[in-house]
Amino acid sequence: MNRLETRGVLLFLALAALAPLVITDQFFIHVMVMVFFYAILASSLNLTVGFVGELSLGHAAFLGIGAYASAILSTEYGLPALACIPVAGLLAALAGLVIGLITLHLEGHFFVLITLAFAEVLRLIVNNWIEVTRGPLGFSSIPPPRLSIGGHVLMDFSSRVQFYYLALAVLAVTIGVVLLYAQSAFRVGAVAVRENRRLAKAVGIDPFRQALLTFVIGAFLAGMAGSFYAHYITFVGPEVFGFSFMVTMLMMVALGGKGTVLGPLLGALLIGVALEYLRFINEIRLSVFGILLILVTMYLPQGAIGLLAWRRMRKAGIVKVSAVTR
Amino acid sequence: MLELKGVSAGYGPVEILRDVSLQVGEAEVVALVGPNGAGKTTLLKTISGLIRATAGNVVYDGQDLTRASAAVIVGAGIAHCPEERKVWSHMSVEENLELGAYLVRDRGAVRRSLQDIYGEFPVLEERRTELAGRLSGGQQQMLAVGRALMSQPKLVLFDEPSLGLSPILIRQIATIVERIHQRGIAVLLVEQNVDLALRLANRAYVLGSGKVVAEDKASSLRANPSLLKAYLG
Amino acid sequence: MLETALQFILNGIVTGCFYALVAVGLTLVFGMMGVVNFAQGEFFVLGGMLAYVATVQLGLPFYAAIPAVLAIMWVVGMVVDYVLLRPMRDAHMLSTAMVTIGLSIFLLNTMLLVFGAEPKNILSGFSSKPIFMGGLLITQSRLFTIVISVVAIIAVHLLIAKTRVGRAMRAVFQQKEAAALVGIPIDRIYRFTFALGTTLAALSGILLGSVFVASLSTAELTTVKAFVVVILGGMGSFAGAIVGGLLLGLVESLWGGFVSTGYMDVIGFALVIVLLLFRPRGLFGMAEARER
Ligand SMILES: Nc1ncnc2c1ncn2[C@@H]1O[C@H](COP(=O)(O)OP(=O)(O)OP(=O)(O)O)[C@@H](O)[C@H]1O
Ligand SMILES: [Mg+2]
Repeated sequence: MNRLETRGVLLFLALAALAPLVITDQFFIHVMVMVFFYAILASSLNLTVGFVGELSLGHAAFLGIGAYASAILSTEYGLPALACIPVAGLLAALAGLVIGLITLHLEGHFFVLITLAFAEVLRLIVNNWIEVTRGPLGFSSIPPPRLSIGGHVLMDFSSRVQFYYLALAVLAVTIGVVLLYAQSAFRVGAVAVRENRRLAKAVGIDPFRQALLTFVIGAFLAGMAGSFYAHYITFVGPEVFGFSFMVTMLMMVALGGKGTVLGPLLGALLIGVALEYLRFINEIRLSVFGILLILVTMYLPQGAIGLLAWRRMRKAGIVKVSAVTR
Repeated sequence: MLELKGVSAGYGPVEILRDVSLQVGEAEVVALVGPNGAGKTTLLKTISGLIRATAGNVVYDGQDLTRASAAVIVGAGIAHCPEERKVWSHMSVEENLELGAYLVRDRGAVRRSLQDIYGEFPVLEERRTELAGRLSGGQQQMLAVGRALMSQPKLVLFDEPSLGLSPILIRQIATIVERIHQRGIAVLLVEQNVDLALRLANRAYVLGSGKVVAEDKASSLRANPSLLKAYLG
Repeated sequence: MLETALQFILNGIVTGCFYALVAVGLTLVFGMMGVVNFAQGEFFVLGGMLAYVATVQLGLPFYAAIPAVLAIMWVVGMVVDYVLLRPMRDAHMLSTAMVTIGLSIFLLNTMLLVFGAEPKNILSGFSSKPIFMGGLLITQSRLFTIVISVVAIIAVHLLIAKTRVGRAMRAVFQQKEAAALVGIPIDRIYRFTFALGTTLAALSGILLGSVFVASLSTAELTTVKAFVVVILGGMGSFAGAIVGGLLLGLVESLWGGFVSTGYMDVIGFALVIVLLLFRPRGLFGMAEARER
């Protein structure tokens, strides 16, 4: 975590907070809402993929759990949407705890496969457990949030800008959590785990507990993202558990730069904007994504942020031999 | 016949060997000694093409092998009997030996080498159908040596063949090195057992922290134990 | 009752053959190269789609279409290894996984563009009239599937056990450094193994397409199920992949027949998750726990 990055993050948030004052275009506002949503997801995935160094392909499960929790709680039990968001996060965190306890003991490849299997199991269950999840039909007309004090409605989320600020608020919370994580002892621990498990153990860090904690925090954030998604889109179906969300988040983390705070935001911005504005190339979009993912992994393993940082360092003459990091 | 000129090599960005030059003459036994972590194994791996030299040249019989693949290097006549034996433990003894001659296309020649090795190491013939993993450490070492000889080399690189063996087996290994030598095959011998190495060798190099720190006739090095001690730590 | 059970078992064997063929390639590639190939399900589907093109669009007879498609898929496997995997040989496992994930996304969506989403029939030329064997009935195409799968599995076994290249494969698998030192061209063995895996997955896709239909929607689930099989059977184990594949096919078929069809696809995952709960090192102890 360097100063450049902190400044980048603050700049991102400040610009985002001010943008609707200048730009009122409704489509732009919508695109940015989606970008924020993706940024939350990508940041949460990045905790495990970037900081712990384990590839979790089951992260969409937490998004799905959050989305479904919110859909069920608000449509069937009338829980206010704003209360749903943290509750959904907690439920996802609980799932994260269970899944993490089972999977994080496994060695690299197994972890990848089993997390994917978990998401797949949940998707299949959601598809089949019709009494609770309404099966493939899913939930529609999920109510929007509403903020009122003593019967006086402050915000009813009838306009997109209100969603915009809600998403931004959740994103700010996410970034706050990630920053705290990155700067606290956690990071020392998690990065130690990524670089060298044995070393971590030797200095008294329990790699398993460290990874589990990170995993659960990531699940919590993804659950909140899912809940927000449910209230914004107003529809939730089994596809929230699907691989395509997973791929999108992964792309964002990879393209932006894994293991950094700013990277996932950058990735979400680049890909989120491309996703929404390039709808006309919708059909070939995913094919292009596939190629992009390959190219980025092979030729730009540090992501866009790595490119920036590397340039800077080379200018300053810091990088000589050690540019060979994985 | 083998000449290294200013060779540097390492793993990824980590450079281990710096500017190493050394020679092995026709049918010569050359010892390479040095403390743990000096880079002896790395040097052998560089010669046999498991890792690439980042600078300098490896020349063998007038042929530049610096960038050659491991397969080309074995084909050219350099066999490498690696550290820790590295036999295929889930294959039979005979399969291990036959694989040593992977590049030898002439079936008859392979059979003759096999008979030869069995003559040298009767115990391998006795246990030829058994899985290599079930052999004792010493027998596995013989298997590794036999495998290296199966490629009909003109130069054999040995990496600590005596490691972990009983005195009797160490003597046997010494006999084998001598016999290889008598057949006119050159040997580059890496050994922790400096005494043994210097007894077998004509000349010796001392490697320290990736550099050649001394080079002399084996006999003169043996005659000067205090100097040797200083080098080897 | 017994007859129904036997019928389910027979159906399970057919499905098990599909799983086994896909999983063999996956397990070999994983065991030898340390690569988790997330595009295996796409190779499987591509085999089916090409067989559709060959039999329906080009009008080739089925017996000619099969070798043609397999030959193409062999080349596909070689090219993928050469272009995508070879530069990543020394890379971290995560990076290689990302590359194969990228490939799977690319292949799936490109196939969607080219072939469309609707399932495709492969013209196998078999009559749909079932054959009765005792009280059991089996269609010609299912019988053909079993026969071809058994032949393919035996052929691959012989290839690995008896031939020069097979011996080289085992040598690389067990002890890579020694293999390099005796002159085995590791890179070419990798390419061969990857192409073999690709081709076997495609064969499975062709056979499944001739029994049911070839459908893009099966790609992802196929990959994940093949992983399940590989974990059940032990990573890198050839025999394990066959046994695991048949086991998964049988369990699914029996579960679907006697318990519920809805959760049929879940059962394999449940099996693996439960297995890993009790035996974190996998069924055959091949899995390495993270803390060594
Ligand atoms: N695969 C590797 N990656 C990175 N560094 C390595 C690797 N193998 C060895 N090294 C390092 O290279 C240095 C030289 O190692 P090498 O094995 O060549 O020494 P050696 O002289 O053979 O020692 P020994 O007597 O213990 O066998 C050591 O510092 C070692 O830590
Ligand atoms: Mg050594």
